[in-house]
This record gives sequence, structure tokens and C-alpha cells, in this order.
Amino acid sequence: MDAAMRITVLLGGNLRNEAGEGCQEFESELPSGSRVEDLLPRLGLSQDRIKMIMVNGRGATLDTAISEGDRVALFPPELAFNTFVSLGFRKESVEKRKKQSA
Amino acid sequence: MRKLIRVNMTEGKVQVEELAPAYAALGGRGLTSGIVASEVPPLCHPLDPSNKLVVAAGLLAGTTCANSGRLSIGGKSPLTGGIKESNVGGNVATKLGKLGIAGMVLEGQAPEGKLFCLLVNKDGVQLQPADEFKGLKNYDLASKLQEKYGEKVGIVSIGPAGEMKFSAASVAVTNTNGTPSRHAGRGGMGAVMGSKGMKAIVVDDKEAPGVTYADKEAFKEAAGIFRDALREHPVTKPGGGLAVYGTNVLTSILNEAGGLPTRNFTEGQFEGAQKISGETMHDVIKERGGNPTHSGCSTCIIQCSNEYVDQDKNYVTSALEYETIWANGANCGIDDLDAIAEIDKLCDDYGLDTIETGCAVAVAMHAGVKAFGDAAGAIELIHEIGKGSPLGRILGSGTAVTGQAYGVSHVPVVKRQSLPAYDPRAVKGIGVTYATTPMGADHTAGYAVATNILKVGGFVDPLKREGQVDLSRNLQIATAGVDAAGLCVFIAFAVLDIPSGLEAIPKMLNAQYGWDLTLDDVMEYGKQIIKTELEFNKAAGFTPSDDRLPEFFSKEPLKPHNVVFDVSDEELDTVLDF
Repeated sequence: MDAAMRITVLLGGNLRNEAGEGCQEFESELPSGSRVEDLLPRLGLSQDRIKMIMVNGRGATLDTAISEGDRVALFPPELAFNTFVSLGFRKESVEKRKKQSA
Repeated sequence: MRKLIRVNMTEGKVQVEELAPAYAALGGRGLTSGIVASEVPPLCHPLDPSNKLVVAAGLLAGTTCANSGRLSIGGKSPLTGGIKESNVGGNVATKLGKLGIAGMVLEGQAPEGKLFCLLVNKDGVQLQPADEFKGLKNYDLASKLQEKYGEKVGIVSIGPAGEMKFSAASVAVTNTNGTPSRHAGRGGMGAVMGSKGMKAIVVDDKEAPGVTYADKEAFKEAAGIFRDALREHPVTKPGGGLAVYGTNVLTSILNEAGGLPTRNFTEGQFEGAQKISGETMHDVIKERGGNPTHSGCSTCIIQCSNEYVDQDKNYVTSALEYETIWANGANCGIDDLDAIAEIDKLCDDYGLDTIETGCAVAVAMHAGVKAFGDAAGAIELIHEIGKGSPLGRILGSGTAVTGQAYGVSHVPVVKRQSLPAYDPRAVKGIGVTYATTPMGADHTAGYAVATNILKVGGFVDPLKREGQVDLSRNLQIATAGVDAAGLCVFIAFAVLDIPSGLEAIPKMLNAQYGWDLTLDDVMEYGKQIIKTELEFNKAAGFTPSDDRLPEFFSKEPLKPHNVVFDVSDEELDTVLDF
């Protein structure tokens, strides 16, 4: 078995209750080489309950690799204030993504 | 045709007129800024008779549209020296809309020491002496006015801070329970109202005619689609993020992102954040039997408001908000929710902007007047403001004056208005908005926080300068449009994720007024508002050098990400160059 890493987890909103944790912030262990995605089953949380992820205070995704001592914060959709907060920006970002995927 | 009330405070005369053709299509911020720009001399002293205080309901006020109860209060700001629109919820805008009143303009100045009260109802408008209310705080004032004019009236008022014409003075507006806890806080509009000699405006919509619609059925349909969008989105729906945790949902998020300004903007994370977070606040209010989910504003279905109670279940304050909790909490190193709730109540009662006041207290703490973290000391300082002592007058004049009086160089202001609850080094898009909006440092003018922090869709990295200028520009334009419609800025969270909700906005305007607007027209309308405001500021003496953040944001790296604000001056000058 891989060596375990110690990390700090912060759960926003109601996630702490859904994960059965008594507090918002706690320490946890994960096998080394884990990604954010691997943390969810350990907390009993499904992917659709996670909208915003930060690792060490930076925006992250389910694929982001976690290292020893990292801090992982998970926020549910109801706390994830949306991204497209203006018409022009929306158009531009949609076009940009179209170009990128083309 | 909507009406405009003009009150000449010098002569004590009131006139009700139809909206002039130049103003006929304007509402909310569009109307306040339109009137101020055309009628107020840009170089006047903000507390002189030639300034005007404009109170305007949004274009959709009084309709059945959800979250259409925002009120704009404008004039030349004694804090910034520029044009100001201070936005507030409560129960007044909807009542004005039902009475067919687009806005009220207070002009001139009452004789020194005289106070008046304006009564607005279906029969007309009356100006009455109000000397008996001199020195009264907002809560007592609201009770007395409700006793006299009925429990259901809406009230716009000032407390002692407004009477003393402090630059941090707010204008209070009653919420749906009649409590004077919604405030047009920013920019010292309370001081302008005080300078006019107006203590309160009482609005009674009993037997009001209601709004007339060009096409009632079309309006009903569009309003339904708009409402569905708000009810569907996880942030705005019943039981959603804003309803459960209020705006304080943001404390955990900003602290995690390293953008929660702490101890007068010296750090980006607060060790006491969890003690004052939305999650903790929700649990505390619920355990004590208070109300974590409350409708503070007429027509609101998002319900971000709350009613905070003390340990004995007694009401303390309503809508304990993120900005207030930050300004008087993390920014002062205070992690005691009960103390912050008391500060909020005191600010509402004295009539003070909680952001400007908290920032001024933090600067005073930086100078050693009190220690960071000294909650009792902070409360003492707020009382000094309420009393009008020499120290209180310094603090009540705002963050910039407090820094000057105490020789502090670390003063977080733009155009002399204090920065709100997002550090511009860690959330650079909001930094661009702070620097460039004609309002002075203002988060609501172009809320780049959401887009900066979420790493999905239109993500713009909050720590990098790339993309921030376009982001802030587009947000500022869209927000001006939302403000003109009189819609709550939080509707953006839903309608910009749900296109049908967004498209419903011009449809509602068209169905109410018989117009033929597209979404692009609404954006163009927002652009025009900003242009008007920029022209006023230019004539008032503002130059591009006023569109800058204080130097320390580009020199002092912010923990934990060790970042500085590095959007260049040249880039900032392009933000609103359209």
C-alpha cells in the first residue's frame, strides 16, 4: 500500500453535515498520489455535490493531484456563485472555448 | 406617465411633475445619475444647496417582477467628491412604483437647524416640520413615524450621523417588517440628506393605483420565466446558498482563496474566519431561535436577509451581511459574531455605512487607537461617532480622513471611499473595478469575484492580470443596466447561468413600457449611464490618476499567495474607454 499523506479538508455549506463531520475543517489521510476525486468517496460525497474546489487556496478540479500537507476545500453548487456574470464576457468566453476545442 | 416629485427645501415647496422627456426612459441609477449630471454643478460643495439628493425607484418597481424592489439614492458625494449612486433594498421602491412615482429630488436647503419630513401617498405630497425628531436614531424614529402614519408605511430616513453630515452617513430604508435596517451606505448620501434638512420620507401606498402595463399578459409570462430562473438556480433558489447562509456565505470562500482582507488589509486570511462564517452564523441564529432566512426587500424571493438574535433570543439586528461582518470582523481582527451584530445595529441606528465605518476603525486600530481584535474598543468607537465627539467626527468622516488624522499611510481607499471585502491583490478583477468605477471603491459596481474564484466555465485566474480588464468592463456595464431596472444584483447569479431568465428582463421592460429593447440595448443603456457618470466626474476634477489603487497594493505582497496588484495604469485607463 502507498504511504499515507496527511491533508487538511475544509467543507463549505452543508457538506460538513452530509459528510458526517462535526466541524467545517479537519485533518484527513489519503494514499499518496491521490487526486481530489479520490477524496470524495472517503467523505461519502458524490461529485454532483461539488461545484467549487480549491487546493491551497487556488482554483482546482477533480483531477488536481494532492500532495502531503495540502489543504483541500470543497464547496457545493449552492455556494458556487456563477461564472458568467456579464453578457459580453459570456460571449467572449464561449467563443474562446470554441476556438480552443476546435 | 411616471411622476417626479421635486422638493425645494429652501422655500419649503413641493411640486409633482411628469417625467421630462429627457428622463422618461430612465429609472434607478439611470435616473439618479441622469438628473445629477444635468442639474448639479460638478464643482459645487456636496453639502451646499446646489447639490441635489435624488431618490429613484427602478424601472420595474411596483410590478410583480421578483426582486424588483431596489432603490437608488444619488447626488454628488461628500466622501468621494464625485457622482454617487448608493443602492438599497427595503420596502420603499415597490411602494413608489405602485404610486406611479419614478423618483424624488430634494433641492436647496432648509433654514439652519430646521428639520422636515416628507409624506408621500395617493393624495399627493406634503412637507411637514420635523424638529421634534432632532437627534433621533433610526429605530426610534421609525417607531414614532409608524405610530403616526401606520405600521405599513415605508420610510427613508437619516440618524444622528446624517444630521451631523458625516461623510460615512447612510440613508436608512425600512425592510419588509418596517425595521430601518436596509441602508444606502456608500458615499455619505445620509450627509447630503442631512444638509437638505430632511429627516425622513414616509411613503404610504395604501390605495395606490398600481403599475400600468402596455401588455399585461406578456409581462406576466416574462415575469414567470424570470421567477422560475431564480427558483431553479442553486445559489438563489428557496433553500439555496443565499437563503440559508445569507451573503456571509462568502467568508469561508474568500478566506480560503486568500482574499479576505485582514487587519486593515495586511493579510489575506483571518485565523478567526470560521467563528464568523456564514455556516457558523446560520447555526448560531438557528440554535437561538432567530431567523436565518428572511425577506428583507419587497418582492424578494431569494431571501438573503436574516434576523440575528442574542443569547436570550432578543432581536439584535437584521441582515447581518458579509461586508459588515468582514469590515467590522476580519478587517478589525474581531472574531466575535455577537459583537459584530451589535456594531451592525449601532451603525444602522446612528445611520452609518458599515463598510466605511469598519474600515475607519481598522485604520484607527492600525494607528494604535485600539488594538486589533478589541471588540469592546470598536463598539466604544462607534458610540463616539454617534455622540459626535472630536474622535467620533474623525472616524465618521471616513477611512481617508481617519488615516490622515492619525498619520497612517496604509489607507485602503479609492476616490476616498474605502475598499470592500475582497483584497484586490488576490482577486484582481475586483481590483480593476475598485480602481475604475466612477463610484469610488465599490464591489457591487462590477462583481468580478465570482468569475475569479471558480475554476469552471469563464474562469479568469484571480491572481493573474490577464483578462481582468475585459471582465471588469463587461461587469460594470451589465451592473449599471441591472441597477437601472431596479433589480437586485444577486439575480445575476441565476440569470447568467439560465439564458431564458436573462432574456426575460428586456421582455418585462418591453411589456411594461411598450418598448422594443433587446439585451444588447440593455447593455448599451448601462454603457450610457457610466458615460454620463464619467463626464460628471471629469467636470468635477477627476483625472486618470484617480483611477488607481493605493500604492501599497502594488508594493506589499499579500499572504498567503504573496501576490501584488499588477494591472498596469495603461490597462486601467482602457477599462471604461468606450
